[in-house]
Amino acid sequence: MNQRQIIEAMEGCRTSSDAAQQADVPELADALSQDAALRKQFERIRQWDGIVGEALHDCPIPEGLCDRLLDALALSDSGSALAKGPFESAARQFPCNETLAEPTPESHPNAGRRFLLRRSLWFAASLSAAALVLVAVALSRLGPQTPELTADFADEIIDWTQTVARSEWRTDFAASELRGAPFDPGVQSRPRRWTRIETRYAAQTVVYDLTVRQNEPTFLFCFVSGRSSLPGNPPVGPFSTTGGFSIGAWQRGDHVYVLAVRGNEARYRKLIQSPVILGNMRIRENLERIGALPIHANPDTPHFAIGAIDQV
Amino acid sequence: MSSDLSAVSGGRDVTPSPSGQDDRPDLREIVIRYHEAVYRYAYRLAGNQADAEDLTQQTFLVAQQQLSQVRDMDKILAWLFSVLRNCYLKSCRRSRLLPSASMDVDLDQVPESPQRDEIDEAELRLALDELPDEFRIVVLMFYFEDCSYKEIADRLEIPIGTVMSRLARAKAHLRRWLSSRAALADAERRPVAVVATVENRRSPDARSYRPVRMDR
Repeated sequence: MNQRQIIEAMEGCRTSSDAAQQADVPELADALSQDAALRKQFERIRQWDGIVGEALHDCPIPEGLCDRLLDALALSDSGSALAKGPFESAARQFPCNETLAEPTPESHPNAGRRFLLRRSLWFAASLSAAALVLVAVALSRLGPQTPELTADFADEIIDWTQTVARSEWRTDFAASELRGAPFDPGVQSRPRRWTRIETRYAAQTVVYDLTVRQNEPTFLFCFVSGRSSLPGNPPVGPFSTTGGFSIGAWQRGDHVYVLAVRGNEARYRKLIQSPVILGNMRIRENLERIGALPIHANPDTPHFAIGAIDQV
Repeated sequence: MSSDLSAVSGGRDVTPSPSGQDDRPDLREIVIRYHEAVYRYAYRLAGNQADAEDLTQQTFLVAQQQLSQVRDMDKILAWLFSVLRNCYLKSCRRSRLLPSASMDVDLDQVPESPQRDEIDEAELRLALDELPDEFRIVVLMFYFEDCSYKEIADRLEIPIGTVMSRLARAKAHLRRWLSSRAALADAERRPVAVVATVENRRSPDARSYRPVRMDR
C-alpha cells in the first residue's frame, strides 16, 4: 500500500468500528502501529467523522411530515384500489334498476309466465354481458402489458439481465423466431448470439447479446407491443443507469427495443452514435435517389442513414 | 436493529402489527418509525426541504408498492435508504445540474476538527451542494448508512478503488470547507478585522481558505 492508499483506507473506516481491526485493511493496522504521524492523522479523521456525521444527522423535521406522508399513502392506496376495481365500471354499464323493470299486470293467463321468462332472459343476458366484461378486464390485466413509461424498464432491467444469464444462447440468426423481432439497425453493433426470455410485457422477448468484453454485458431486448409512449428512434442518451446499466428504450412500429449497456453513458452513446436514423418512411425512393445509405436488415422495414436532416 | 428502531421512531408510540400472523409491520408503522431517518437522508441528498419532502414521499410510495419484496424486515431501513437513493438518482437526472466543484484536494492535510457547535448548518449544506452527485452519494452512504467502502462499492456496483478515491476526496472537501468556516467564526470572535471574500472561501485551493487577519 502506498501513502495515498493508506490515507484512502483510513477515510473508509466506519465510524462505528475499530479501523485497526478491520480485516479488509490489515496493511492499515500495520502502518498505524509503525507511524505516529499517521496515527495522529487518523485520530483527526475520526474526530471529523464524528462531528460531521452528527451535524449531517442534525436537521429539523418539518412539522406534520408524518401525517402528510400517511395521507399521501392513503390517497395513493385508495386511488389504485378504485382503478383496479372492474366492478364499478361493469355496474355502471349494466345498472340493475334499468334492466329489471317492475312487472306490469297482464290479462293473458300465460302473461305471468312469459314475463318471468322474459325477465329471466334479461337477467341472464345482463349477467353474461357483465361476466364477459369482467373476463375481458381480467385478461387485459393478466396478459402482456404495454409499456407506458420508459422508467418502467429501469426497475426491471436487473431481473431481465439475470434471467438472460440463465438462458441458453443460440447463434442461428436465420431462425424463424427472429423474424418477429428483428435486430434494430440503429444499434451500432453486431449481435453475437440471441435467446428468448419472458417479461411482463411479452411472453417472447428476444434478447440479442452484443457483449464484446466479458465484464461489460450489453443486451438488446426486443418484443412486440402495442402503441407506447416510447420514442420512435434510439435515444441518443440513456434515460437511466439503474444497477450499473445504461438503458435506452424506443419503439419502431410494433417492436419495442430496450438497450441495456453495462457501464456509463459514454458506452451507451458509443452504441447509438450514428448518422440520423429515419424510420420506416414513404420517401424511400427519394432517399435512394439522393444516395442515402440503406442500413435496413429487413426490406419490409427500411431504414436509411443520411448525413444531415436538411439533405432530405 | 431494535435499538435503531427506537432511535428513529421519534418518540412516537409504535405498536406492533395487529395481524398477529407474522412480524411484518404494516406500512403505517414503517412510516411512523422511519420517516425522520429517511427525511434526514433525503434532506442531505436534495439540499432543501421541499425536495427532501417530495423525495421522502416518493420513497414511501415506492415502498408501498414493493414492500412485499423485502424478505428481512430487520433491514427495512437499509432498503428504504436504497429506494431513496434510487429515487434521488432518477429525479436528479431529470432536473438537477451537476455542480462543478473541483475535487482536486490534498488528502494529506487533515485540519484540526472544530467543536460541534462551530459547524454552521448553512455552510454544511453549501459544502454538500458543491459536491458532484457521485461524490455526495458515496459520502452520505458512509455517514448515513454506515457503509464501508466495500459495501458502497457493492451497492453502487462501482470499483472499490473508485469508492475509496471518491470517499476520501468528498470527506476532505467537507473538512476543508467547514474548517475554513470554523476558522472564520473563530477569528470573528477575536478583536481583529477579518478579510475573507466569498470567492476566497469557495476557492478549491485549500490555502485560499485561510482568513486574512489584519490589525486595526
